Amino acid sequence: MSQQPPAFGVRARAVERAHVVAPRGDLDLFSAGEVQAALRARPEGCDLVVLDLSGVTFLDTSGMRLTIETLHELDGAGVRFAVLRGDPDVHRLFMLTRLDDRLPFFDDLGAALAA
Amino acid sequence: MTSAQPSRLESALTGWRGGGARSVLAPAPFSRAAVAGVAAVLALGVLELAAGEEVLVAVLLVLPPLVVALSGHWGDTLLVAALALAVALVVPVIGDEMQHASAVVLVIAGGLVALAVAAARAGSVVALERFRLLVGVADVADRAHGRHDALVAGVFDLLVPTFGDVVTVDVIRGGVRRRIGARVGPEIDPEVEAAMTRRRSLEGEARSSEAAIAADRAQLVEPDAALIAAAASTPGDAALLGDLRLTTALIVPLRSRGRVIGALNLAFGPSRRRHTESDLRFAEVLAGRVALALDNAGLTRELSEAEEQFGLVLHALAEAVTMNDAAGRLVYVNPAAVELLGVGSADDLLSSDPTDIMDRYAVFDEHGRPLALADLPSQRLLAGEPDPEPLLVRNVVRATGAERWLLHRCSALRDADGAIVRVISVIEDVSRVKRAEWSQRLLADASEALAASMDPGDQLDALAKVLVPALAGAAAAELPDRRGEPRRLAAAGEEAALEGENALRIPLRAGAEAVGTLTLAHAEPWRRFGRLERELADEIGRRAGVAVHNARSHSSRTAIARALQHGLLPPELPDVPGWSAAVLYRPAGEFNEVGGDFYDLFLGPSGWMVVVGDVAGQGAEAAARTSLARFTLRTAAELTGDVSTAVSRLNDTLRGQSGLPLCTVVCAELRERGDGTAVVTMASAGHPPPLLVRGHQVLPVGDAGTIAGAFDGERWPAAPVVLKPGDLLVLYTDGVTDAMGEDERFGERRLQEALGRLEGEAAERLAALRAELEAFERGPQRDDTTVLVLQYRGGGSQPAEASRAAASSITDARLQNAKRTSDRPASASS
Repeated sequence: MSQQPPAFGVRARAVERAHVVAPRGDLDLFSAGEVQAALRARPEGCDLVVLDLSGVTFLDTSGMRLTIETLHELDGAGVRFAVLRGDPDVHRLFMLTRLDDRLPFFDDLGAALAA
Repeated sequence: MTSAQPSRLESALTGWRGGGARSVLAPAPFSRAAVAGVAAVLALGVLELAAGEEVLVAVLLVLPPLVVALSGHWGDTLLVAALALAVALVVPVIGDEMQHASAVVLVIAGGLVALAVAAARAGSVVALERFRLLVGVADVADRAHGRHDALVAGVFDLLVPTFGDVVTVDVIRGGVRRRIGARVGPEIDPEVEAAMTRRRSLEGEARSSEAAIAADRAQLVEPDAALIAAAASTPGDAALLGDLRLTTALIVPLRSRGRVIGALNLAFGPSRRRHTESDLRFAEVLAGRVALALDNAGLTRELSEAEEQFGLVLHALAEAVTMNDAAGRLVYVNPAAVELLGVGSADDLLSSDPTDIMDRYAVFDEHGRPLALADLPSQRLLAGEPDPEPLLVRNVVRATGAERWLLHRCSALRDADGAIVRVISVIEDVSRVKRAEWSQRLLADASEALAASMDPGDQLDALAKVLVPALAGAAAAELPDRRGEPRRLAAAGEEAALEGENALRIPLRAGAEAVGTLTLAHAEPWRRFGRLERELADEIGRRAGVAVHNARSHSSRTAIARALQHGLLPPELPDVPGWSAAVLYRPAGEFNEVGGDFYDLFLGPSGWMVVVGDVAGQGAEAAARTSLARFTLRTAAELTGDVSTAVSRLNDTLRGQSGLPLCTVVCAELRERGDGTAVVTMASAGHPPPLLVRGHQVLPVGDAGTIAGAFDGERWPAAPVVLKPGDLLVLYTDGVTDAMGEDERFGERRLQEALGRLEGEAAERLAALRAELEAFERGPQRDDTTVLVLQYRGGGSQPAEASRAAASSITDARLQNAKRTSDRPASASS
């Protein structure tokens, strides 16, 4: 299957008191559910959830909706949310839809933690 | 002929002088003993003459006949005894006369004793010779091991030339007499033997062996010229028989178990000897023994023929039959089995170890579990299982990948003690029936799996689980993602095999359209997909394609929503005074995953309003929201005439829905100014910026706000753009820029470059753009495509010098129009 994109996977880890979720591959209709589950599985007492889009190769409106939904959910729970920018192609959708300045984007984890 | 056998045997053995003639088996009358005896008698006579008074010498004459009787033939004894008597009588006796008389009496008595001894000896020689022949026949029969030809040859060895110069044997088989052998003595040309073998009848009609057989009567004949002439079938035949100069012939029926099975013919010719009646009687006894031996051999032979025929039947049998010995080794395999086993010649199989043969296959039971040699019924039988059940196996030849369903059945041949001597296996190829059954079951299971859900992922997951391991070692299903690239939604089994060369890729078809791919592979590199498997996979691909298609787009909810969405779009754009408008709207088709584009062009309270939007999301929900978005915008725009408010209303509406519906939209109002230009006031929510085309210049315009539906209380300030006559304003959705070509997207640059190059009316340019877009595109597109082109003509229907009054009257008209439009039911087209 030469056309098969890189296998999708989600890795979640704890950095300080942050729950960092890093999907790899295409974040789309097929994988959004898995990422959402990983984001929701934050440990007790965590005060920052980070969605790391740096390993994402493609992002569609499902990924976009997931990000907005997560922001709303965490707002409601009083937990801070941070999104680490993906590559320009991935970030393009956020730019087009003018979400880039409405979502808590950071360049890297250090910046997110420091904020 | 009906007398008791012992007495017949006895008389046959001892009756050597029957009929007054001596048996041919009797020794010759004279031998060298006669010469010695005569010499001895003469010597004694001379001695008598020389010795004179010695009585002792005359008395000695009694000895030679006795000695000859013991060592010579009967003729010798007679001769010597007679000579001794003569010498005793004629030799002058000098002594006592009484002594002489006593000597003569003694010689006579001794001679008589000698003759009696000689006769007895002669008789016993014949009896011994006959006995030797009878024992010889028994011996030959024993050594022939039931072989006809060996038996007959042995009998000829015994009888020729002792009991005949020409001996032939005929047998009756199937009611027809057939000569099975002939032998001639050393004095006769061997060619005669061949001729005699071919000859059907040696004797004349009345005396033929057929007649003897028919009469069941032994005959002694003396063939004369007349008899030979009558018997000969041709002149050559007559010459042949004439040349033999036959003296006597014995024609003896071969009787066994009370029936005649043939005839033994013995004839003398060149040796000039003659059979006697006693020979005929002995011949009858001898023929009885030969007949019995032949009959036994015949019986055995019939058995052998049955075996031979059985072998031929097995050989010709379409069913594969094999035979193993008690050690499990293959000892017989018929051609059908060689072909079915398909891994070598019969010789190769017979010389191979059973485990070696087994290693040439992969053998599975009905459930796909691998089987070993010990699991086969033949081996289980040998291992002591009394009656193993027939076993149905799926057998795959490793070398070729050929796959068959074989039914193994076997039974044991046991000896008297019950030990297994042979195991006979019948292997039936039930592939056709089994595959049909298996295919139907697999199709039924696959259909059931597909019907269990309306979610494509779940459907394909269930399908993959059904297909592994029944059809393949690994299965995966892929559907194109947003970018049209295959995305694996379900997989089962050893996925690594799916990348192999032998993987089978089947389109998931819904009608003519491929909606995805099903990949099947065997984990074992030597396994191939046969025609049946391919056909079955194709059929499963069709069913899965339809199921996925239905789940995706043709659920009733989706169908209704799509109909609603598409049906409520304006069938054609209204005429807008001063403007030319054209729209390109291409729904992505049945497999739209990303919701719907929508557009609208209608008259608002203060000018014409245009909307192009794109609702994100999938399936029925997105389709329904597309309708919702369009009518929310239209209603708000018509009521307020304010693009910012219209978008805010849309946002409020979307925020009130569950599931975070998102919508990008650009909403614009077109208003002509008195100076020959027009102002377009736009509000954009996360939408691609419209393009202003002036001459060959293309410029993105407007100031986009956030996508609608994401946040509460969002505002979308309106931004004005001034258009001169001839300017174009192009509103589009990202379906255009995201359109996939060979290996990249159409993109903004291509779109702007095309718009800057094209000339002509709005509709012409749009048609040209569409052609460029479609020339660029490869494969089915996953997103709706909408391009709405507005060209400001300027003052066409609305004179540049139009007064405020005129403008206001137009405004009034528009208000009336708007009122009317808003009163109309929502389903009506503008």
